[in-house]
Amino acid sequence: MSLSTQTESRANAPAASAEVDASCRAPVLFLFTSALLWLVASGSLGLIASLKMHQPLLLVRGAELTYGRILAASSNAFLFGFAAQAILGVTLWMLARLGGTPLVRPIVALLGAIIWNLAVTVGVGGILAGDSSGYEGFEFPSYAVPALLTAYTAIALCAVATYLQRRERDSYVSQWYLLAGLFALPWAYLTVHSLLLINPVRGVAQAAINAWAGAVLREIWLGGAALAVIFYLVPKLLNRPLYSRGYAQIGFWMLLVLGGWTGLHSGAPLPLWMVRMSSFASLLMIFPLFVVAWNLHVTAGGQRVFGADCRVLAFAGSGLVFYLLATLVMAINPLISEAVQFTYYSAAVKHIAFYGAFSMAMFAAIYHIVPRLADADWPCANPMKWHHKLAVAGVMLVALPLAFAGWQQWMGLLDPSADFNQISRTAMRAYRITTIGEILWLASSLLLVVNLVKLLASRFCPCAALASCTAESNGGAR
Amino acid sequence: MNHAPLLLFGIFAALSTSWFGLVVWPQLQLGQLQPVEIEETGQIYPSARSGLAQQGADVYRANNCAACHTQQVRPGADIARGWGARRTVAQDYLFDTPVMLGSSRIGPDLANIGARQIDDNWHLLHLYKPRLVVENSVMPSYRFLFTKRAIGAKPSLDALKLPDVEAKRIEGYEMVPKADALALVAYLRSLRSDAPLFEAPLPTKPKPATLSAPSTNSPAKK
Repeated sequence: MSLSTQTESRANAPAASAEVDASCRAPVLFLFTSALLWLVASGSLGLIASLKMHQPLLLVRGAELTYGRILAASSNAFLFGFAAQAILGVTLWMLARLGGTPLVRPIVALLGAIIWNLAVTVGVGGILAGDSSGYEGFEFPSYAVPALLTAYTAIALCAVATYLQRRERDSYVSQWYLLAGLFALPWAYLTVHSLLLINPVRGVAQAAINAWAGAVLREIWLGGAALAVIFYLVPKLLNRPLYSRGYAQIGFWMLLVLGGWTGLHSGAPLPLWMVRMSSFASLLMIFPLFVVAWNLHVTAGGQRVFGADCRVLAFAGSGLVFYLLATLVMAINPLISEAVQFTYYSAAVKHIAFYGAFSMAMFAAIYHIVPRLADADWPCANPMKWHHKLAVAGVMLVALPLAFAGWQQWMGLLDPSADFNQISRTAMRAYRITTIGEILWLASSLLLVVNLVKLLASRFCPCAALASCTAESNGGAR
Repeated sequence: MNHAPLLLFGIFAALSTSWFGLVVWPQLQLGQLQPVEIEETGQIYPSARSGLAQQGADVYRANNCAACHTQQVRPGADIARGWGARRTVAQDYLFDTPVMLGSSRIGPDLANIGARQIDDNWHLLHLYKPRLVVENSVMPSYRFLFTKRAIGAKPSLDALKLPDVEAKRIEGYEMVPKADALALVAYLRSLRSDAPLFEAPLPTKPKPATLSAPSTNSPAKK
């Protein structure tokens, strides 16, 4: 099905769509392209980390390729290379589109995006060079952060100015989530930068701050962006109005209030009330989850979202299913956290949230938005189908073995006299499968990159005839 | 929610609840924490690390050892496993920056490794090639912390004391730990949180012999 011919269910200001898309073209296409290149970089590093985990004698000569450094580099490249730029691209375009107004100062946003990429490069390089900050999720060395925040401010100001100048007065749920995320990231990072990196507070208060910032990133920034995309695409592509704005508000505000509390775990060396509050907030997350699920369920009105024929919808549907799954599992986590905490199970849940829920939603957004900006359809639909299959398989083949390995660790650790090394070795057998999952994931990302490059080449390169679909359509699916 | 300033203020207010709870309040509650005198021993706890151990903490941070090792003992199973005599509490981390609690246990918890394993050469061998001292260990080798040198007229004093099999494998050469390796071992040796605290007493009244000061390094396990 051709994407650009689908009807617009939400009314933008008349005749503004083309103008809006033109204003977003340079910064958003740049953000998406570089986001996907970082996704490939992060996937490659993740693959090496996965290999090194079960081949501990691989690549041991250089400090740069130590497992710990590669892992941190991979996850930071994912968060700030891919996720941040994908979210910013979606934010700029969606705030402009839903507001019915052209993007304010696209050149500033483009400059910001270029600086952002330089800062992320410095940050990832710094981690590999051994300058990691040591705070999980925020490992960039302190010298990379000022440029990062400056670039972010430039892009965010364009986004906020665009929102304030909107001609469509009614705001939509996607805009709320995106605006919240727009503030949440710099707030979290500024807190980390000032209270952990520049002028560190004493002792375990650092751990509390790190947990708060991490939870804000996971729940409000990544989770909120995924929901923004899903709430935008599901009603639009199904051509049905959103069921309830009231439910959407409840879900939104509950996520915002609860999200930041959810990062602590039982047994942490922190005052008990903090841990209790955190567990309680995690359990309460069931409510926004239910509200979101119900709202979208009624909106869809029985139409297939998960296995939909329309690929964009299928991506959004997979994102939604993974989101509901991850949030549900995280919500009931306090009940079993003593057993599964520190095992591969936690890694499995995180993987579903980041690579399942968030990334799938972003892929849906990219597939939906890019043809509008480039004013050209995807050169071929086949890679899109394969991308979806490979990506879902990749996520499952990492998450399921991890969850199984976590269960094995749990069972093994029940006996306090059992040999810990033996438990780790037993769990390692299932872990090996994750390498296959990482390969599939990387291949799927490459497919999208190839497809995007072909689309951009056919649109913006004079030698457009070269970009034919048939010959290399499955080139990345090795 | 169509009124932009109201929406933006609402977002700000909603986010600040958890910010006050987990960023500002811990600072008010824990920010004034000071080292305390341990009643039984008269020692001040915790004491700051030695310079070498502090450098070792940097090596630990740079290589993200926390990716596989936690430094926190939870009440219950962790203690039964012998990873600590008591749970860890805020007091134990007073001089750590960054605090590296860790979130995953591919390897064992290290909160009390300084009490469990007191042999420097064991630690160095373990970093050089974990499988030399722990059968089928899943830990990678930290070979880059060592220099391979041809043995001259006589072996260096600071060379690693290798088991025969490994010594034969690299015959004519010796492995000399770099400064980073020595610092990292000093840091690992400094890791112990077994001082009896008011908020985390040792579970049973220990005999005077096991209630030793950190400098004597009595093993907590075995």
